[in-house]
Parts: sequence; structure tokens; C-alpha cells
Amino acid sequence: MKTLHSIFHDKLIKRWLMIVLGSVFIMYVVGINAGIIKNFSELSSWTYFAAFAVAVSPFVVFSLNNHFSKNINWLINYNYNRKELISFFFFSQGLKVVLAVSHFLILFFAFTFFYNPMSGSRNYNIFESYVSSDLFYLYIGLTFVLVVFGVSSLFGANKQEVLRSRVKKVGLKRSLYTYGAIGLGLILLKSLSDSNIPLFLILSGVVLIAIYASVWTFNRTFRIFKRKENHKFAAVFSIVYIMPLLLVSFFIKTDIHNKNIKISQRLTGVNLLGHFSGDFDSQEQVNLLVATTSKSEHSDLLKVFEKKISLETALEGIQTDYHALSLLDTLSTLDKRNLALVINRMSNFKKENKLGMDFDSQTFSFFRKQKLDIRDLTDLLNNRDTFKQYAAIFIAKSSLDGSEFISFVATNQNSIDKKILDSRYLRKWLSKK
Amino acid sequence: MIKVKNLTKSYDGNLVLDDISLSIEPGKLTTLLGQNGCGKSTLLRMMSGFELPDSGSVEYNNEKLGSINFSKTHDICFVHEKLDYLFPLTMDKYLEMMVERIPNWDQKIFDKMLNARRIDIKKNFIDYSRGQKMQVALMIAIASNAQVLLLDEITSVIDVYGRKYFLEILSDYVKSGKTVVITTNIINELEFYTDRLVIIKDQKIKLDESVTDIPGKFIKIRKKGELYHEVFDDPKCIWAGVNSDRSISFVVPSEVIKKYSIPEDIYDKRKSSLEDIFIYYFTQSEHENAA
Repeated sequence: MKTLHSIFHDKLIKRWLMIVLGSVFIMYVVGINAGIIKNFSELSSWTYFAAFAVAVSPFVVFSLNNHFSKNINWLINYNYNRKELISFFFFSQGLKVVLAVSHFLILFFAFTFFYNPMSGSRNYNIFESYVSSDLFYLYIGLTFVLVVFGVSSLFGANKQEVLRSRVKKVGLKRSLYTYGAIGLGLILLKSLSDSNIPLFLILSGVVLIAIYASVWTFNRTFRIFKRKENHKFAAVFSIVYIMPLLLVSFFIKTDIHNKNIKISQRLTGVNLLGHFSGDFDSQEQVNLLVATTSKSEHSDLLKVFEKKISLETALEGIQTDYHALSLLDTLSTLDKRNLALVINRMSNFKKENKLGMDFDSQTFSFFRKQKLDIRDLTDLLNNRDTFKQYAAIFIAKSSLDGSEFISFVATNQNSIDKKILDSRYLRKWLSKK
Repeated sequence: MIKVKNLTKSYDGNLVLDDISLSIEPGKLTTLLGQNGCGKSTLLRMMSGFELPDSGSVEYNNEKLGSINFSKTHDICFVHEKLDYLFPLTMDKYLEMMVERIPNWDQKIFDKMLNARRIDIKKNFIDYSRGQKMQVALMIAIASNAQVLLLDEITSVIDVYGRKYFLEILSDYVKSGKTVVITTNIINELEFYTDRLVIIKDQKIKLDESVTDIPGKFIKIRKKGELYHEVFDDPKCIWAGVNSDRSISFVVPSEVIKKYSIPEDIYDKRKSSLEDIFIYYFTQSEHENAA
């Protein structure tokens, strides 16, 4: 083990340290940029790229494999037996997991150092929920390790072998397997892109693929059992892994309906189980909707509730305009409810919270999706409520075609000119015409 | 001693080796011959314990080579033709660390081979030419002093002087009581070093003989011009090449020769080479298949 460690981990720690320092430095530079440019939408694309690089940097250590797997066929039974090589493989992967986790921690502390904790709407519900569900956290950790094993074993010799086997002529049986795998991959991608699929099903799918890939590549490297037995081992591992996941899902389902448990935890449970969460009464639906400010979560929840909840009920208990906008946006996108009611409600939020009348990105995004005819738009524009006047101009731009919009602007020139002078968003929006 | 018992191996439904049994004794250089893709390398991989058989077993001194905790790891060294090893260090640094793990490492012979073949050890393995890579791998194998060396197609990439040099060293290696099993497609060069010849054809072992026993089993005859003799029509009389006087040589098993009364002048005075025997077995099988 010591010799293998000296050979195959040569410079590993040094390179890892370089990556850590680099990512912290990039984070610092991005931090300065984010601090100078207050408006998030004006951050340049390279800043996003840099932020992405920082986010993925802890995984880079898994690509620093120093060709161990490439040399397996040279080392098996030559001064090392399989047991020793497998032990070293796990030691190596374990070491990399430790380095990656340490990197995450360093980044986390750097993040809190460079960016002061934000006040107001931002909270850390996600972390809180994960931590409070120990078993789920364990599964996330295990899935992470499995995926890492699967991916990292593809580096080095195996990657070449895998690529080579892809281009070889394949028999009907093998090509069926290949098409099956591609089909499964596509289904998984579709599942991931469709938030309607419960997370625990996606997780099971990912785990299944990760286990099969890991068993297959692991045995390709170490040749511990016959190739025909790959499926048998993968199936056993999958059952061992997925059965407890189903068990945990059952417990989560029980917890979702337990009113003694914190609403944020129950919300996480609903996100995990989706349609399998069971029925909720209208008060519970409102409680869950109020528990989150995330637009995607609102959308998911409303799909889970099968749209039984009314707009008025959904808005009960919501305190901030940001929260309301998110929910209203989701509701209006889903089934085009009474827009006048929505605008009224939004207008009231604006007034109650004394937040001024200028449009922000949330309202902009919301109105861009709405449609009204000219008569309703003219009514809205002639309303005394400034918020409704803005809404009329935005919706007119989105829902009227070129000539109708020009005619609408010409008819209401004075009102519109005044609003244009007042709103930066409106100026920007109309200048695109 | 390596014992191969009833070994069968197939890839993707294609049978490569079918119920093969073989014993490799110490102190001998055994050559495995066969057409490309006949399973020579597969057999060596299973003899090294790297590949597992579908059925049957391979044992070294009564211990299964495919076992996960095979204990005699210093006794076997396999050098194969796929020279895609990747080391994160230069070879001198790699060996500096690796030799700690090799109990019988012979630094003297390693240095001697390095000097003779003028190979710079302060390079990364990937920076060597293909021939140099093979030589370095071979040098490490020889200096490891393993009881069994399994060498897969080593001669095909080394230059002619290098081949002669290493075959001489391997000959001495075998004389010291160790075992070498080699596969090759360049048969003639091994002729004087091989103790035993194993020919694999159609997933089976067609010939497994000591090289000293083979010449008596085959006779070479020669056909000049329009000369006719009924032996040339025998299906076991196999074409073995054209000579400088434009006569054609044939190789025939001794028991076939006994059936015919052959004049003295037809006999080729030269003994059958390994290449003749190799050609005999493969041409004869093709004749049988065609029939």
C-alpha cells in the first residue's frame, strides 16, 4: 500500500492544494464583482462561468487519478494480488472523497468570509431539512460516493476500453443492450427535466445506473468475477440500496402528514415524494404554499395538489410581495386565472408594503406572460392605480401585435409617455420594439 | 508449475478456447503458436491470473491464479503486447519505489541490460518508442527474477539485435531453473531457444511436444521440376516453401512416409523447422475443413 501510495499519489496533495487556492481566489474575484455590480442581471457571463468553475472545482480531484487503473493489468498478480489492489483503490477513492469534502468546507468558509450573510428573504431551509433528515442525508452521501466511483473508474485505462468497445462491431444482443441503455438514459433525462417526477424515483433511477456502471467498470478493472455475473451483482446491490430508500420514502410519507413536524421538513418530503405524498386539505395546501418562496416549488406543489386550490385560498397567509408574485406567477401560468384579480392582489401588496411603483424583474417576468384584449388594457391604463397603468403597458406589449400596439400607444400617448419617464424597466422593454 | 485444467473461454458468445489442459514445467521455454486471434494471448492472460476462465482452472503450485488473495505474487510476471502502461513518474523514480516491493530484484542485471540496450531510464514510460517500451517492460520482468515469465508477442516490436539479445538472456534465465512461456508470430528466431512447442488451432491444442521430439515426427521431401511421385498427392503432404534451386519442399509426417517407397533423391536433407510444422498444422486443418 505504501509503495502504491508513493507512486500513484505522487503530487496529488500538491495539485489538490493548487486547485483549492485557485478556486478560493476565483471566488474572491467573483465576490468583488458581485459586490460592485449590485444588479444581479448585469453580472457578466464570465462571472457566471467563474462561479460555475468554483462550484465544480471540488470534483476536479477525482480526475487526478495518476493512472492507477491504467496499470491494473500490469500489477495484478505481479507483486500485488487483487485484494491489495482493491484495498488501494478504495483507499485512493476515500482519500479523494476526503479531499473533495475538505475542499467544499474550505469553499463554504471562504464564501461566508467573502460574502456577509444576507438578511431578509434568504434562508437556508434546504440545508436545514437535509440535516434534520439523517437517513436521507446518508443516502445523498452514498449516492454521491457511488456516482464518484462510477465516474472516476472511467478515467484512465477503462475510459479507453469503454470507448474502444463502443466502436467495435456489436452483435444484436449487445446492440439491444446499448439501445436499452440509451433509452434508459433518455428516460432519465426526461425525468430530470420534468419536475413532476418525484425526486425519490429520479434518485432510484440514478442509483440504479450508478450501481450498474460501478459494478461493470469495477469488474472490468479488477476481474473479480465472470462477466456474466455482472448483472447478478448489480441487481443485488441495487435491491440492497433501493429497498431502504423505499422504506425511507414510506417514513417520509407518514411525516408529511404529521402536523407536529416542522412545515419546512414536510415541504421537503412533498418535494421528494411528489404525487405519492397523498391528499391534503385546503388549509394544509395553503400552509405548504406559504412555507416556500420558490417559484418552482410553488409550481410543483400545485401539480401535487392537482390544482384544487382556489386563488384566494392560495394567497391566504402570504405576507410579502415577493412571495405573492412567485405564487401568482405560477398560478397564472398554470391555468390563466382571473388576471384582474391577480393584478388587484399585486397592487394591494405593493401598497401594503409601501414598496414604490417601479417594476422589478419579478413583475416584469410575470406580465410578460399575460394576455388581455384592447378594451381591458384601456380600462387598466385609465385606472388611477399607477401599478395597474404599468401593468397595462407591459401586457399590451406582450399580447398585442405590431399595428394594434402602435394604435394603443397613439391613443394613450400622454399616459404612456409619463410612465416611460418614470420606469427604467419600461424604457428598456419598449426600446426593444 | 502452472497447471491449466479443462479451461474454456469465450467472448461475447465466440468460443476462443475449448476445454484446454496443459502443464507448464519449470526450467523450460515453452512457445505457444497459433494464428492471430486463436487465443494464445487469452491463454497467457489466464495463466497470469489477470483473466478468469468461463470454466476450468489455472493453478500455480496448487494455488488458483484467479484467486482474489493469490499469495505468490512475486513468482509470476506477465509482459503483454499492449504497452499502454502509464506511470505518473519517470521510470527511474518509479523503479526506485517499486523495487522495495520486489524481493528478488536484481539491480545488476537490470543495469547491465540498460547499458547494453542504451536505454535512458530517466524518461517517462510514455516517452519511449514502442520497441523501447517493450524492452523496458522486459528488462523489469527479467530483473524481477520471477519464477515464471509470461511473454506475449514481445519479439514483434523489438529490433533484430534486441531480439537476439533478449532471447539469449531468456535462455540463461530458463537454465537457472525458471520458466518462460512465450507467444510469437516470428517462429524461426525462437527455434534454437524453445524447449517445447504448443500449437493452438480451432480452440484446441493441436500439438504439445518437446522440440527435441518433433524432428523425428516429420520428414521433408523435395519435388524438382516435373518429377512425379504418388506421395505428393497425399493430403498429408503439405507445401513447405520454394528452395533456391526452384525445387519445392513438402513436409510429411513420418508415418505417412512409411506408406510409400520414396527414392533417396527426393528426401530433403534439412530437418523440419518449427515454421514447417506450423505451416503443416494450419494447412492440413484447412484441407480437412475444405474436404
